[in-house]
Amino acid sequence: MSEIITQSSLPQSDSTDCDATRYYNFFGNAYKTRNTLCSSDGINYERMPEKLQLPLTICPTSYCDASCRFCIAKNTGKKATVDLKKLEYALERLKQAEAIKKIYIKGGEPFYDIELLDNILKMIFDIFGSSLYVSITTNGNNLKSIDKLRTLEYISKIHISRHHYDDEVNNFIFGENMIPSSEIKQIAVSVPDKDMLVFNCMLLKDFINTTREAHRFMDFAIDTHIKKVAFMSCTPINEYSKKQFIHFDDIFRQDDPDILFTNGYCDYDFCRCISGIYLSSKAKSESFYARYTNTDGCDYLRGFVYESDNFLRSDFSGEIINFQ
Amino acid sequence: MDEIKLMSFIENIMETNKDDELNMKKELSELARKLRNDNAPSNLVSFAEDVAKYSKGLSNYIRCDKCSYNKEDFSDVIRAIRSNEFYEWIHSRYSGHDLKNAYNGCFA
Repeated sequence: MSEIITQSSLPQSDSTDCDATRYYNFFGNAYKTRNTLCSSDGINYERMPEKLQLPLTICPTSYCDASCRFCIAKNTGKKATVDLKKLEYALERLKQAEAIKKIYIKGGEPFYDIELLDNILKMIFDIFGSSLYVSITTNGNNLKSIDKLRTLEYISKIHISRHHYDDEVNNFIFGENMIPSSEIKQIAVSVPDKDMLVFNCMLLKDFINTTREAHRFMDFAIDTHIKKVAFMSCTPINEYSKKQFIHFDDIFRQDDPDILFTNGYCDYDFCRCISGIYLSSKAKSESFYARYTNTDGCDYLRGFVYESDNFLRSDFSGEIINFQ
Repeated sequence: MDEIKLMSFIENIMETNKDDELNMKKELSELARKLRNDNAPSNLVSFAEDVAKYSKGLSNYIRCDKCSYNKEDFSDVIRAIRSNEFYEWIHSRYSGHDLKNAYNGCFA
């Protein structure tokens, strides 16, 4: 079972009476973890509940058919895929430890093997129940097979990576021919939950790079019947992403008359996000979210990752967690 | 600041859809739903939900020649809705009008 074993003395939050980290016992080993909830003002942080639950990311395959230059899954080459029996054991151990708050399925490209994805989803909902928050991030190319997912109705969100409103420019960014916007629109109107699909758009210096361009992207999302756009500032994983970096603060501004901010949070210097509503010139509304994450220098566990090599890790490429 | 911006959003939606009452209600309801889904501050959510609820009466107000819609009046209407005094406000301002159907028909 998981349990708190001690409080860390470092680091200390500026104006909160609890430490920013603590040590927590998962599967018999102590891990330094975060101890505070995200803060709305960046100054006052509330203590996390005693029982610690973290997000789990599952990467069913390392393979992706796109070649985005800012992505960690670019040119992964071999098509490693998870072993369902091993994944099932890991999920059962995490369930017993009551360690999981939500599950993200990412990649590689999760829809590349629809049967594998379907089996993973079925396994997750069988073990954790259908009310667990589960999201999938996809490049969209095999999204037309969405109706093959037996547990579609339980999925909370499907994030479609889409980095430009123009199909040709979007293909250029992905380095491949991607699903056209006309097909996305057909899928968006056919899914039972109209809030399920979300566009993920990377803010890049050469592409969606200004307030005006972000507005155009949201106009496109409205036309495509996608009700929310998540804008991301590049995580600086390589030279290209460093060169293309734009902070979302330079795009979404308080003085923009077409934007109404609803909330925002930060986790010290590691992660910051804002949410809001955009109103188009045709008086149609669109939800948006913008986030910047850079966990460089973050020395504590923020989530688990089950990668396609069948190891459970503390964050991406982190320490292997022995859950036997 | 946020309340002023929300009022501006509502005004735009009503003005754009003033000849299509059903669509006006749909867009106002959608705005309110998105605010609620986004965990926006509760005062903004309840205000947007109230406006969507009374959108039929408001659309009649902005289309009525006698009520002579202008932006200043519209702000008053919104304030009246916020303080749950919409019907009273209409009554005091347009005491000569037929108010029996204030929420269902033209005020004038």
